[in-house]
Amino acid sequence: MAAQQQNQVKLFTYSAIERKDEIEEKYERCYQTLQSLTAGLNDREYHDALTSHISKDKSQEEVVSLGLLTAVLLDAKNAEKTYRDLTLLSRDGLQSVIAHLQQFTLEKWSRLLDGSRKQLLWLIREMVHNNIAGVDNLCWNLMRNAAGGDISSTNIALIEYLLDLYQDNRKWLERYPWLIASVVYSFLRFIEDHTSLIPLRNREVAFTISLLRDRFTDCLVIGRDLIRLLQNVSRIPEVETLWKDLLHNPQSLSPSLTNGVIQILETRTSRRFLQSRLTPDMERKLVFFTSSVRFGHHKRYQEWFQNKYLNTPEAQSLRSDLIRFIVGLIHPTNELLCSDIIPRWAVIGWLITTCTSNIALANAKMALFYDWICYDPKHDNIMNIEPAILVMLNSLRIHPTVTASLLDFLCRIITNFYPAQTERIRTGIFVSLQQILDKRVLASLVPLFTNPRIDSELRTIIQNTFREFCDPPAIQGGDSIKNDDLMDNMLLSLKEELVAETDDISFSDEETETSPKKIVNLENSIPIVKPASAKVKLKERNLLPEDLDIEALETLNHELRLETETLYFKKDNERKCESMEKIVQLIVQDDEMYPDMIAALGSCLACLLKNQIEEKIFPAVLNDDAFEDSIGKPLFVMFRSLTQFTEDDSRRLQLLSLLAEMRTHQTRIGYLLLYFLQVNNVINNNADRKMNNGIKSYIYKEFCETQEIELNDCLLSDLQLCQEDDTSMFCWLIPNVYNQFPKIVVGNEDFLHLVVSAIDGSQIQEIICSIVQGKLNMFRSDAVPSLATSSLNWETIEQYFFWQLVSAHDVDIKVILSNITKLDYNSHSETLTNILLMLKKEKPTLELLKPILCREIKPLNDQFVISVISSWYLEHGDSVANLVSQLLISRCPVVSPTKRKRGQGQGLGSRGGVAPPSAERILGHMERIRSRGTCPVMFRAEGMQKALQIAQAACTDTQRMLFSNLFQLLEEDEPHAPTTNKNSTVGKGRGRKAAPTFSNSNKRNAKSVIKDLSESSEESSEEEEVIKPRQTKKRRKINTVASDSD
Amino acid sequence: MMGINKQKSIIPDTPLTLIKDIQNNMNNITVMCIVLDVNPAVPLKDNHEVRTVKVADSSASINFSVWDEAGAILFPGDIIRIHRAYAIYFRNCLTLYVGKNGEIEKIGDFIMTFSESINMSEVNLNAPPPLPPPGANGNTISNTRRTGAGKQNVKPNTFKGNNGKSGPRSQMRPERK
Repeated sequence: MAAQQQNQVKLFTYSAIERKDEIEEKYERCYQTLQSLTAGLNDREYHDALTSHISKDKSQEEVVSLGLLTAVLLDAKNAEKTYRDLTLLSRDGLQSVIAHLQQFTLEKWSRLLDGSRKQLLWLIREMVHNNIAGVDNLCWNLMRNAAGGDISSTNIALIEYLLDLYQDNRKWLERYPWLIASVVYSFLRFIEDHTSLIPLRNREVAFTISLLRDRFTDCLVIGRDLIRLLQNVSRIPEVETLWKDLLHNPQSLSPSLTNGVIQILETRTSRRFLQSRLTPDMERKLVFFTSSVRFGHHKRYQEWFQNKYLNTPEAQSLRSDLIRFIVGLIHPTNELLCSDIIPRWAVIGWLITTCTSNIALANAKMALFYDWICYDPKHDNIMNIEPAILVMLNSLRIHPTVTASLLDFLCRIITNFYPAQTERIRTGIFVSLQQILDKRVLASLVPLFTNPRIDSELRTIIQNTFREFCDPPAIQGGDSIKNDDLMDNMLLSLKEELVAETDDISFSDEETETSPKKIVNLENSIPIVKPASAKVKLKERNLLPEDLDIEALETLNHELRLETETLYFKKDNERKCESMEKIVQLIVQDDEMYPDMIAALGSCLACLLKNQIEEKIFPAVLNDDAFEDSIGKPLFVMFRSLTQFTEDDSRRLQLLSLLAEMRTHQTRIGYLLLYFLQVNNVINNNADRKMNNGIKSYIYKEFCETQEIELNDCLLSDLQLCQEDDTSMFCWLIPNVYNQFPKIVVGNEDFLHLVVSAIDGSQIQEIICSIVQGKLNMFRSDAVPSLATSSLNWETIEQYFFWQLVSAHDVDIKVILSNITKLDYNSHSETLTNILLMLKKEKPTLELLKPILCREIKPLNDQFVISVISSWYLEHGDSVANLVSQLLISRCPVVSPTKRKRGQGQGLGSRGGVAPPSAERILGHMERIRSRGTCPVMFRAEGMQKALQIAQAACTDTQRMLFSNLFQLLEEDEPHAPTTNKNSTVGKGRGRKAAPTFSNSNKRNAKSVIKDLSESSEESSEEEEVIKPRQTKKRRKINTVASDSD
Repeated sequence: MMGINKQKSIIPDTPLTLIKDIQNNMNNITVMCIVLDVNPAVPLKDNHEVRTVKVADSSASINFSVWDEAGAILFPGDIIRIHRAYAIYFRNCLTLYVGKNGEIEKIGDFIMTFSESINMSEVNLNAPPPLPPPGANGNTISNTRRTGAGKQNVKPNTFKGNNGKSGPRSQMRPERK
């Protein structure tokens, strides 16, 4: 019998490794007492026995009522009778039973066996029917067990039960305004989840909307989250109708709703509602997670929580509830903020980044910012808006996309959240931002709003939206602080300012909150800053540098933290180096060091070593001792350890990631590493020439890989910074960089530009010396044309330096000439000047001449070709004339008027531009030389005369006319082609007589030969054929004009 | 593993041994820890299977070898109390086992902090050779054997229920096929 009874008492499910808990044992004992009292008794005796038992000893009253309660839960058949007995025997109107059931419904629900669950629900229904006092609380507790984002059958069954219960007992429900609000809040959430369960959802919608319409005033107590949930389900037609009333006729819903939606948005949500959407189990875990788990050790907990609650597609909607809970209820104390416990922003960042649904993600972002939109410093708490700004700030480093999407969201909601009230929303958000600054959550928003990690388009939007917050703050002492330093700067002030809300730590309602009113009072109570912790903070602040990220420091484990602080406090350099060595040891030993720890350490080191990093490191005198001294600082201890590992030793990776982390705070780390590697190399080489390890440039490569930056970009930005900070170090590094990373830098225009833009006279001298000595090679000659092209945009002095370097490199002039035709005399003067000077030194050859003569003949002031040829003529005399004529002859088609074929030799092919030049173009240049008169004798050369003749013969009439002045230079006794005779004679006569007088036609020649050449050249060859039949006519016309002028 | 109906006389407030204090050949200890990883089951002969479960408490982590059913119902995040556990080297790794009369008891989940910084089951190439099978009174002796005296928290009266039966060490060490 006993054994049988024992087996019957089973309320909870257990796995094989779980034991009965105390509550169940207590229930079991009471049940057994009851059984032993009543065994074998009939109804009447049963009742008497119990009554007398209770009257004997007051403590037995509880035993009996618990025994009966257990009987109800266990035995469905006799439940009605047992419940009757229970009500009859109870002298306190079932209050003790209710008290027991409170705990039961809140904490034990999830473990109840199915049968007992049904019985419990039945019991609650009976109690509602009987209107037992306190059952409303049981309903609230039960409703908490109906999880959001869960459409499993047990959860749905519970929701259905609750819906039935409230619908069937509407009258009863309406007696409890706060329960109405809770029911509305919960069911709005369930509706959101039940998109695939249409029949249930329709019932839920109908019920909730009718409740809202009838009792809207009661629902106002919820606060702004009512609007949030209504927005999430606004697509449902019934809700849409409600929305219309809410927007256009709010007082029809509630007379007190004088200011419509804004009035609700301005009401802070009571915590009770935010809390109600987390099951007790979720709440316990989340509270534990945010109050006890150390930052850096949180991964597994996240995984467990995720696996249990957030893994299904329908569970994504729960993320908003969790975020609202964290924002509204988890308000850590000062002590907690100073500790290494995971901060709220990290938890929210995790909830946002792991979200798998876009809709849920948008809702989650909205949930994060919901207290911003109508923020009122008088009624709202800074702790409600602080997480969002910190999520944005702290994600910058690792998840810049999260920051960007949140900033984007923030900008958009101003206009899109409630278009009719844009100004109100803008004010709310601006007040929030101002409050963040006033309460010193951040010292400035500039580093966040103007951060280069955010895409420039978005930055523009932000700057347009939040112009007031984008201006750099006036910094005392005129110290300009770099972006990265500011990042650290901003966190520290948070802790002193934030309020110690000691009452807020009790999240769970063991002491059930009696009314929402009371909570509001609590929330509004005047913040008390704990004197003790404030004092500690002050002390710390005096010692450590202001911009140190204290939170990061506190993330470090004890040993690391100690050494890190020593590094800063000790004055003695050697002692500092020792600390650094220890830090390195600690990092290397612990190969499972968490990235967060590395990040924190990196931030601290970068801050603490700031002075060392920023001071001048490059020695004034360059000798081994000076170099050795320059790398005696703690920072270099870390670099040295890096070089001491062999290449395949993976322990370096930790150090490298630390360095990478430091570089995000102190960008100078990059070039200092380069400098160290080079100095190390120099010293090693000088000390022992046999043991030439070669410079360990692979370390730098790995350094870039660790940062996931292309070596190219990393090197460039490091060198850029070095160039800005210390040009002498930069110049000293340059030869080394070119030798160590030839694939990347040799011939690279960015690096070259960096060099030429930084150096001064003595430095270019040094570099050129190295080049000339063969120690340095900055580009190969084949890269020169493209480099020259890109150099066109540089400063004049930079271009001159560049050409100096080109000269130093012994580049073949032919290579340079390959794009000579593209250079414009007026805008590319530096390049052309330098090429001219180089050409001047060359001996004229056909190969050089060809590209030069390919240059276009305009503009009028272009003296390049003239200068080149003239200078050559002065130097080398007739050989130039011969070359030109040779070229001209080779470019003139063989003239034989009778045999002329179509498609061949149509005048002097005028399409020039590419080597070899067309005869027309050569003639054009000759004409200009002639008109300049720089070397008149050249045209008398025999070869030239001959060439001109041939050219003249091959010319079309137009061309012949264009170059008439040139052809006049032909010696008179030379035989002329009969067709040209007349023309040339006219020209000749004019050339001799009229030239000084600048007759019309002469003017025309001087002015527009060039113009005609360059402009008509394209058409002329084509036109010619078409025009041919009319040629004579045309010619006559021209002649007429010419003679008229005479 | 052990059914709940079996009424056990395990004293609930047995002093706990911290994982960092666990040493080779310790016996009859109670450990409260949280499950971090459950590795796949390795089948043994006679239809047994064994899983290596990584567990941790606030001091350190250790591998815990779990036989048969209990391993299948352990999940990461579970908080368990291991009663009458012992520790020996298995393949150079210090490993925790449940004694023959021991028990795994799940007491919750998630809400416990732990530290992974020390892994007691790191391979130790200098692991001492296994001891010869303990005698009839092996329990009490092995308690002090090779372990630092005074580090033990185990009270002598904890072993009363054992009645000199072969100690937990007599449990077969897992042999993988």
